[in-house]
Order: sequence, then C-alpha cells, then structure tokens
Amino acid sequence: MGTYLANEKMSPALRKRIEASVRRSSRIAKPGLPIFVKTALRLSLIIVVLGGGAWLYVAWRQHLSQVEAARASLLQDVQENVIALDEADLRLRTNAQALLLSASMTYEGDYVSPSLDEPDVVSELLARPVLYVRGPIEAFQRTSKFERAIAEPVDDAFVHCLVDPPEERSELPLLRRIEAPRDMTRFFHLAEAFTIRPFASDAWSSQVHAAATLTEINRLRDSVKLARMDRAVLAVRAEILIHILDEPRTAGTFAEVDGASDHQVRVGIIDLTADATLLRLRRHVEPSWISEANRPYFARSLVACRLAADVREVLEEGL
Amino acid sequence: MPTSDHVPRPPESALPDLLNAAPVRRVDSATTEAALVFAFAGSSSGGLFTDALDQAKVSPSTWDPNGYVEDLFLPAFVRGCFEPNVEGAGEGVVATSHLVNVLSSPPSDSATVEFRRSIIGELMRDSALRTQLEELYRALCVFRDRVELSSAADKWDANRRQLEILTGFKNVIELMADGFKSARSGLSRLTAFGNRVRGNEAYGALVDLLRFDDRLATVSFKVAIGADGRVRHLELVSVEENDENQFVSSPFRRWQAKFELLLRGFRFGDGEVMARLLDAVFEGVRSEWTALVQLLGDVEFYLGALGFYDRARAADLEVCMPELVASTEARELKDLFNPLLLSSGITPVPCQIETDRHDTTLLITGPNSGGKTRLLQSIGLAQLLAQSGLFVPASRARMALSSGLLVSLIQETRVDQTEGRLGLELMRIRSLFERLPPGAIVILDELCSGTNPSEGEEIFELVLRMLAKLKPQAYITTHFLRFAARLEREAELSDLRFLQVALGPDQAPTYQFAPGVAQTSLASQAAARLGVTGDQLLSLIEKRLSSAGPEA
Repeated sequence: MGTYLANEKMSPALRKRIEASVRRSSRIAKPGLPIFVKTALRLSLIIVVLGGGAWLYVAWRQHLSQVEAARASLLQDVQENVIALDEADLRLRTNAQALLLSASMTYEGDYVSPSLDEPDVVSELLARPVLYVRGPIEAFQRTSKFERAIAEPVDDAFVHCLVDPPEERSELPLLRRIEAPRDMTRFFHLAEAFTIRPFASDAWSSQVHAAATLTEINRLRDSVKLARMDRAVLAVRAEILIHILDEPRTAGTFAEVDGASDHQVRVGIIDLTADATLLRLRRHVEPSWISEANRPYFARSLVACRLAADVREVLEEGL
Repeated sequence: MPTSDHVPRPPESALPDLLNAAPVRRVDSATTEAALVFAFAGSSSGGLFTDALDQAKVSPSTWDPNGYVEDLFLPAFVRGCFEPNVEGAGEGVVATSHLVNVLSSPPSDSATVEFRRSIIGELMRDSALRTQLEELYRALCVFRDRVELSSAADKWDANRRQLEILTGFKNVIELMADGFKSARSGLSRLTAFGNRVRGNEAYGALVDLLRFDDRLATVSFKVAIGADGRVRHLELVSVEENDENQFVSSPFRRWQAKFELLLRGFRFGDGEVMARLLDAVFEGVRSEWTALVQLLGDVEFYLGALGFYDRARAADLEVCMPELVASTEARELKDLFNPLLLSSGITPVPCQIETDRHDTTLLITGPNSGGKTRLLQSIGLAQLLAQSGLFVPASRARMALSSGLLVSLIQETRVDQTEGRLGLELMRIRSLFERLPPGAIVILDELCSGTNPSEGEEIFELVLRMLAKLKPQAYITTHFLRFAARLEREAELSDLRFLQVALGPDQAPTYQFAPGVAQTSLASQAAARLGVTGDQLLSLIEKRLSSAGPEA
C-alpha cells in the first residue's frame, strides 16, 4: 500500500521504508484510544462533515427550487388576474375618483334618470354588480384624501336595504332588515376594486423577484389572499356605482357612538358602463328617532337603511 | 529487533575495527541497536555509549586481568595518564572502564599487536592524521552527546533533535571518508567504512533530508533602504524550490500526505510528515550506528595512548614503542619510570633495567622506600602496554611478549580471613602456581614475608626452584638479604639475577638499581625518617602522659 509521503523521485528502498514507517508507527500503541478507533472516528467525522455539507447544499438547492417554483406560481396567479383586467377596468380608479369629485362639488340638485321609469328597471339595475362607497364629502374633494377615504369601507347596510327595502320605515322593521343575512356576492366596496392595482405594478413584480425565501413568498401570497383578488376582479367589473357623501354635521348636534349624526347626505347612483348618472339625491338624516336602547349600536345602520328605503322609493316612483 | 523492514547489519569485515587485525564486532549489536532506536525516538539514554563499551568483548587474550589489574592500579593509570587529551571534546565522559578492559586484556594474537603498533606509528609519523583522528573523536563525542542527551527542551521539538543527531552522524561519516585517505595502517579502515556508508542509498537519503530541512527553497528579494536607513520596501525577485531534492514535493502532495497521516491516526501537520521521513531515513542507517559506538572506544584507546605520550613529554620523560624480541634475548628498559607517580603529579625518577635474557628470575633487594615496589609496578605496566601494542614508559625498550602476567603486590587483610600472615603468604604462593602459565611474567613483592626468616627462606627457595620449571620472567623483591646473598654466592639456580637499590653517598636511595644484593635494608634510617627511634617514641609518650594530667 503506497503513501503520499513517498514520491517517484525516491528510490524504491526509501519508499519502502517510508511506507513501513507509516505502517509501523500507526501500529505503535499511543496513550488514549486505539489507532483504528481514532482513524475510524476521524474518518467518520470527515464523512459527517462532508455529508453534512453535501446535504446542506442539496437542501439549499431544493430550497431555491421551491422558492423559484413558489415565486413563479405567485406571479402566475397574480398575472392571470391582472391579465384578466383590460385597460378599461384599470381606468376605474381614475373614473371613480373623477365621478366622486364631481359629486362632492356644488350640488346640482336632485335627479332621477328617466330610464328608471320603466317597470322592473330598478330591480334589474340593482341586480347588476354594484360598487358602494361612503365617506365624508371633504375626503372626495381632494385627491390626496381619496385613497384614505376609500381605504376604510363603511358597512352600514345601505346597499342591502336599497336592494331589499323593509316594508316599513319604523325602527323595528328596519332593525330586522339590517340584522337579516346579506348576500354580498354582487355588492363590492369601492376599495375592493382597487386592490388589484398594486399587483399589476412593476414594484410588486420586483418585490416578488427579490423575495429570497419561502417565508417571504408566502407573506406576499398572503397579501394577495388578503386582497381578495377574486372579488377584486369582479369589483373592477362592477357596473353600478352607489355613493353616499356625508356632508358636515349640522351645527349644534352631536354624533352617536357609532358615528351617526344629524347632517345632509348626497346619494348618487351611476351606471359605470353607460357612464350615466341614474340618481342624485340630497337628503337630511338624523338619528333622533331611534330608541335609546338601539341608538348607540345601530343608529348608523338604521339611518342608512331608512335612507335606502327613501332612495328606493324615489327610484321606483320618481321625485 | 530485526523486522522484515530492517536493513541488515554490515558484515564484520566492513567494520572500522581499530583494535584487531581481523575486524570483530565487539559491542552487543542487538542490545546496542535497540538502545539507539529508543534514544533516537526520544527516550533518555544517558550513558548508552559507555554502557555498551563497558559490556564490549575484548580481544582474545591469554592474560587473566584478575592477576594484575588491582595490583597495578590500572584504573588509576587510565584515569591519570591514559585519557584522551583533545581540545573541544567538551565535558564528555570517557569510557574509562572500556579502556581498562581493553588494556587489561592484551591480545594474544601477535598480528593484532603489530596492527596496533602500526596505527600508533602512523599517528606519530603523520601529525595530520593525528589531527584528523582528534577531529573524528570530537565529532563522535558530539554524536554521542546528541544521541544520549534528551532534555526537557528537546521534547518540544523532537524533529529538530533527530535532525541534529543525523547531522552528527553525517559529520562522522564525512570525516571518516575524507580524513584518512593517506592512511596505510589500520586507519585506512575508517576511509573504507566511510566510503561504503557514503555510497549507500540510505545515506544519500539522509543527506537529502538534511538538505531538505536546511533549504527547501531559496527566496531572493531586493531591499530598498531610504535615506534614514530604514527599509522602504521589499521586492520579491524569485522563489526557487529545490526540486531536485527527492523530499521536495508539490504543496498539494504535501497536503495529501498530511491528510493521509490524519486518517492513519497521526496529527495533521508538517511536523508529523517530517517525523515519518526521519524515521524512514533513520531505519536505513541505524545498522551502521553500532559500529560508531565501538569506534568511539577504539579512538579513545589510541588518543589515550597519545595522551600518555603527551603527558610524559610534558614532564620531560620519554616513552617509546618497544622492540619486541624473543625471551632468550637481552632485556633492556632504559629510563623506565612509573606512570602512576606521574598520574599523581609526582615526577618519577627514571631508572635502567638490563638483563642478559628475559626468562630469568630477578631478585631485587634494598632498603624500604627505595623504589622496589614502584619498580615492580613500572615493569608490570610496561609489559602490559607493550603487549597491547602501545608506548611503554621508557626511552628505549627491548621486551619479549609473554603468555600472561601475575602481579602480587598488595596483601590486604580481609575480615573473613581464617589464616595468619604466613598462611596468607602460602595461599598466595599456591594461587601463583595454580594460575601461572609457562613463560608468563611474575611480579611478587616481598615473597614469604610475615614469618621467621629461616622457614621463610626455605619456602622462598622452593618457590624459586619450582618457578624455574615454568621459565617465567620473574621479578621478586625480598628483605631476606642473607638468603639472597647466599643464592648469589652459590649460583646454583642459573636463571637467577640480582638487582639492588643503589644508594647515594648519604645512604639515601637514588631510585636507581645496580646489579647485586643489598647489604642492608637501612631499617634504622627508615625508622629515623619516619620517627620510630627510641628517643622519638619516648618523646611522644611523655607528651601523652603530661597532657593526660595528674590523674594518670
């Protein structure tokens, strides 16, 4: 058995002596573990280290593959939804902002579109996908506040009561209406229509490409899930925009716990596909008629539901 | 010790034996080689060389050391006169016991005696050879010291120590091969041994390994010095590895070697690689080291003889190589002196001893402290040195070799002795005839002393007559002056010769000797000299009594 200590320049006799030296010395007992145990331990250690290194490398490569696959999957999922939107849908933000800005300016007076005179038109109208937005009027008067205004959707049962108004406008029927289960598959907040927008940007793609770990990819996927892209795709294609712009509270009055107050509201219904205003109303709302017991909890929704009933009546019967 | 990997020992004929005409392996090879292996490995081995030499065999001899070593004070002679006197040999230990063993066993082979004489002669004629021998001795001492000495410091760098040992070995071999090319005597064996070892592959590997350690690579660089004398920058000009050296390998190969050793249970590092190479190189040459152990003793023998020569010359005394003659020829010892006195720091007075033939019995008479016993010692030592092929303490000597030597000078009282003085003397005589071979030298001091003269003379005469049958060279001192005078007068014993201590005009011994029998032992003078007269003793007694006081 040769040894690396010997080389071709050496004479055969010297090579033989060197080999014998290595063999002989390795047989000489030294204090501590036997030589073969030491060798076995060292070899095992080397194998473990090399094996560990190889395993780490393979695991790292696998991780990279998984990250790449997850990244590709995420990008594909997002891209599918983004691609599903045509340019017109992506212009919704601009359109909505312009419409709401217009509605928040000088009130042009109550208006009901003549197209609503036909029977069942209102029912058919309200059967179409609807975008709903409500907020203080001043928020829609400035572009800088628009994003914030629509970022906090108001869930006040207005659309629900507009689509299925209560039989009476007294407190109890209204209460039953607002507490009834709601089918919101056709009704979207305006904010839901804009959740796709960030995912269509280059910044989002860069963020996905920059994600180096599965954790980061999963976090980005979670943000996609939170965005409810499925609803966003539908919201972007909504055909009707219903907005309520809350004018400032009447001086000298107080707001309820849930925010209901005595003030004027501007209600608008716009056909986004036809780019036509179907309804424009300005009404006074106030919560004083609500009982003490329910006012702190339901004032906002009760007032909105009564308003919705009024608007439904106007839609069906005209001004 | 030998294993399948073991390099065989060199044959006896290749040994650099300087003591025997036919080379002989005198040191126990197996034991010594084992001790050398352990010493090289790092175990403390102080006295390895001395122990091996002490146990070494001596040349075949018919002489029995028990018959003279003690009486001739041979160890004292070696320590005082025969130790090598070489500058620069350090404080190394001289193998005194080995020298005593060698001197006390003179070779019975005359060819060996002549072999040694020729070496001594060549060393005396060629001062350059003597210088080389001294240089070789220094190198051997260095080699020995490096092998034997293992201090705690060496434990920190075992490789460095082993390299130094191998360097020492190399120096010895180079000196042997190159320093004695002009030798024609047995010293030429040094050249032959050195050349043989130098021609071995194993020695070549050793030289290469030392070169590898000394110079793996040569790095050349330029140094720029600024105006302030400080180094500004260094520029590497070249790096040349000594690729021709068989131990030089590529860095990757060296790493592979280290890794291999790690797997085999060694440490990972250049030190471990060097340790294995050292072991392999050592394996190839260790069979030659036993010869150097023996050689150290041999060199000490000759340098001891030269040291004796130097010491004598420093005291204005002469030594010489004796002329060896037959026992029937005349004996001459001119300016014979006692080396023991020299070793004691006393300048001896040389004397002259001449007889018409060797195979005689020389009766020596004279006063006490006349030098008789010293003469016997001188004769005994001279014969011993002559038999060993060395200088004798005389300016000129004609001597016959003998078959043995028996010396009886000291009669010490033993605690377990059951006999009185006569009994001891009779036992001495008995022992003499039990051990004495024909033709041997007998040296007896005050034979038959310790009994009344008439009976003692009878025994004395009996001994003389019996001795004559063995034809010895006998030297006997006696205070039986009348008896000796009668023997001289009657001349019945043809082999008897007589010498007496020569006295000066003041009756004081001159430490010279003249033919004849002394008339007096000058006991009274000796008594007066040593303070044992009546008046002197009385004075002592009175002093003791007065100091003891009135109570006494």
